[in-house]
Amino acid sequence: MSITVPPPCPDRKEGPPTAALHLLALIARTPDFPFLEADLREEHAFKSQSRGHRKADVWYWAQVLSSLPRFALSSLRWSLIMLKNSLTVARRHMIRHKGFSALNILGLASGLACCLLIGFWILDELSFDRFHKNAASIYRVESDTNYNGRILHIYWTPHPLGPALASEFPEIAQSARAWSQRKPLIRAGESATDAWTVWAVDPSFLDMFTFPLKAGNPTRALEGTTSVVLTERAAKAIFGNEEPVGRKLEITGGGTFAVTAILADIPRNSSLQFDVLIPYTALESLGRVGNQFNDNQTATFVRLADRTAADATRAKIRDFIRTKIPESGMKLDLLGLTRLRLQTWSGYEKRTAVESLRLFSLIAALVLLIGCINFMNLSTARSARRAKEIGLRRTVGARRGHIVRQFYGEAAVYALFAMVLALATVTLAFPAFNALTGKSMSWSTLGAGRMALGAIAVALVTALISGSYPAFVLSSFRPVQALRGTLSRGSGGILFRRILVVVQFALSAGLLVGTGVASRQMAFIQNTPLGWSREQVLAVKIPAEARPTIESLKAEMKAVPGVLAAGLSDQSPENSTWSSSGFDWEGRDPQTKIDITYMTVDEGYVEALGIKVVEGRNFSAGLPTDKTEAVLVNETFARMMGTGSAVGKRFDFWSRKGTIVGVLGDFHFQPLRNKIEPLAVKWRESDWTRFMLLRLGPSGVSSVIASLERIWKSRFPGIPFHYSFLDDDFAALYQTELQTASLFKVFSGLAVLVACLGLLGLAAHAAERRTREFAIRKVLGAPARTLIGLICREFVVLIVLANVLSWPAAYLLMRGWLNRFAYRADFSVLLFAGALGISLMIGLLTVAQQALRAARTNPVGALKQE
Amino acid sequence: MATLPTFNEYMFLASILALEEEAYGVSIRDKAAQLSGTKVTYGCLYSHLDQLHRKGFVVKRMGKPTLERGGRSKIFYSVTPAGLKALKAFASVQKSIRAALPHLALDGQ
Repeated sequence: MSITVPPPCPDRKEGPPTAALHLLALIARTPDFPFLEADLREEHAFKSQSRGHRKADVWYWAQVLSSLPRFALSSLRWSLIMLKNSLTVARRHMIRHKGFSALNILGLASGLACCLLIGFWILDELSFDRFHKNAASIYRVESDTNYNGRILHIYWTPHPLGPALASEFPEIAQSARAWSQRKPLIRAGESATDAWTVWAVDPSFLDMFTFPLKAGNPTRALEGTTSVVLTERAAKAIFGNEEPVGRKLEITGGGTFAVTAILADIPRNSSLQFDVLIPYTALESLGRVGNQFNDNQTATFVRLADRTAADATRAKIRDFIRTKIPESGMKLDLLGLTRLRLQTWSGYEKRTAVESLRLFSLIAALVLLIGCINFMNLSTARSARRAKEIGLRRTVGARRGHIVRQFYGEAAVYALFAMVLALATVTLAFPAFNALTGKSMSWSTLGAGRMALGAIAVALVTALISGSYPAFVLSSFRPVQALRGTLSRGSGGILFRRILVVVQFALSAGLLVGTGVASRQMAFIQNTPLGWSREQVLAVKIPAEARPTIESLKAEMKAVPGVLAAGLSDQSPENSTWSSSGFDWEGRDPQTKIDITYMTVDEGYVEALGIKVVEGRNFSAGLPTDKTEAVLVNETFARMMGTGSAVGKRFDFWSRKGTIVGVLGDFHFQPLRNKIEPLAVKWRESDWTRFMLLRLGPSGVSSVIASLERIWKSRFPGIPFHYSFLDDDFAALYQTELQTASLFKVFSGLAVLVACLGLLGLAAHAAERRTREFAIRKVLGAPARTLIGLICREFVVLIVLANVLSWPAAYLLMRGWLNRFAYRADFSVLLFAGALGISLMIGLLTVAQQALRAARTNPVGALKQE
Repeated sequence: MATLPTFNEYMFLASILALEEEAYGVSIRDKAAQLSGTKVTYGCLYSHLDQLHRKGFVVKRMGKPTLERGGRSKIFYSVTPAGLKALKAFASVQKSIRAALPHLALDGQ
């Protein structure tokens, strides 16, 4: 309906106020508007004659304003009626073109499902540590130390630091230290377990952090030197169903403690994970902690009095250590509690996980974008079908805005349908996704209501993006042309649609290349010769109790049939990180301060792991001097020493005299992210022994393990037997990378799928558009393969172009990811060729099926039309 | 037709009937205000007239343009047989209500 405001009377003095008139025109939705306006004008004229112009104007305004609610209501009613009509039309279109709607909804749903899963993942990552009341003002004190030009970043701090900071800086309201002991043996009566991590903390710990308490008083729970706080699950495991408060337990190397309080189990989204808390004073009374500022052993947390003053406080405490130890090069830093989760470590170098969060958000957005492009593509491709409808609507008075609104509405209907499908998919995919990412997400952990609102918002945004292009293209049709059917059948949009397809395929090809790079790197890691063999090697954890009698245990276990070799070590072989600068050797440049990684093992270690001795000899148990003087080094170290044989040269371990007796072949004792560094190996010291490594024969592994466990049980009743296979430990080292690789696979698969849906729709449209052309060609004798080639050629060009465009971006992004590995499978042309091959193949399969149909149709039917 | 007029629509229907040949916007509004004893806005008037027209209780007829209406014509309304029937039914219901509850009528006077 078209409403025009009549021109004001030539003599304004007689007419009603213009502004009121315009307002009325804006809101009055009645077909009789001109008469309504005339009625008002008549009464206005009458009133201004009898009561004066001023009063008449006031009356007029009052009339317009008091009519507002009525008209607004009726206008709303009419737009609802129009909405109902739009929905009916949308529903009919969906039902009539089932295939097309299915493609559209499937594409959108895949994009949305991706987006939701990744969104949930990110939300879960960001939710870490936010449940503490003061989360925003709690910081962990960390430090940077310049070590021969390398900045070492650690979060272990000196014991006296926390109390000193709290007393010397008014900005710091509170401090709490936490010293952790990984899973010591805990005895209570008959039961003994080593499944729980023990933290020694200041009493302020339970005040600063708000871990919910189940029983006991948080302010008094950690008083004295013998109190202990357990989590619910630890209490249940240690004391069974009996009331734990007041009971006593013994921690190896710590003494006897009495339970004072019970904590609720530590939430999954806490970076601080522990199950047993003992007072820090207990450590002090045991003499385990010093009072020096150069002994970094404890984590220090501080709560700032003013959370906005973090930067100022950071600057103030930066050089604090130097006020205590003038020669120290250690600089303090503060890391917000809520950032703990996002910080990951690579050796001693800090790195943040924000980067991978960003990468995955990008992928989520891309897949959703591909889905939206799909929608635009399919909708505009079918535009010719809607031309008559739009023409008719416009002829009976629909304005352009109405058509735009109608198509946005339709997009919203599709998006909501797709969202329902996506939510169902996500619900089904939760277990698999959790297995992949190592999380335990479900609707209840995420807060279903909040998520549902978010999902609806995402769906509407999707509708807004994907509906915009069709809405504006379709609403721009000229009614007369549209009705006559002389509208050029969507030709104007062809270029745009081709661009869209190129974008879709470029994104998919980029993801394919990424998948290829990540999978290749993972395969490379799995297959790189490590210099030691990880198959069939069992690592048995040696607790303190077993150390005094370790030699006889080793002998007994080695005697078990099926055990080929046994060795002892202080570190797990796949990740050995102890290093020291306290070594001296023949020909060392006294100027350089260099860190040498070291390990202490016995004579069986080299054999158990299958490490090669390239020069000299292995340790020998028969030579007593080997236990004090012999040193093995790796090839990298030998190379660093320079020319000539390393064997026989002097090597002093912390000023104790030693001689190099053998050179070991280089082996990876750290993750492949790091380069092989110089290594020195010395005979084990009893206190340090942590692992027994057993090489097993190829058969009867489970019975061998059973006999090993029997031996253990008879020697150490009550102490659990912990073992693992080295190849599992090795795989665990690359868990994040493996996750990245498998997530890449899933999402790139989806992206290609969605892009193909779009291609399918477009190919169908292309075939339909050229029905008559094909019919004529066929009548003139063209074989089917020529016709198929005609359609396919068009898409081959697009797909190749898309691939070429995506390569630089994929290369740059993946190079960044690969750079975190010191040993990497570099790019190969095959990766790019592979992505091209896959997208061409899938694309052509999609198109060919449509082309075949077009080529097979009977030409008579097509030519008879009209 | 199953749709009945609403209470307000009865009022406007009655006003149109009372005005006979002279029922157009200004006069209907005056009459309705007089019948109901309340103020009637133009917004109220036209949305009800639209409804009555849509439901088939009134018909519209164009009048001649006049000068005081800015050169626009009046639109006259008259009641259709369906409208008359509905109004009669309403009046008889009103009558029986009066008969059944005489004190209601007394209260009004």
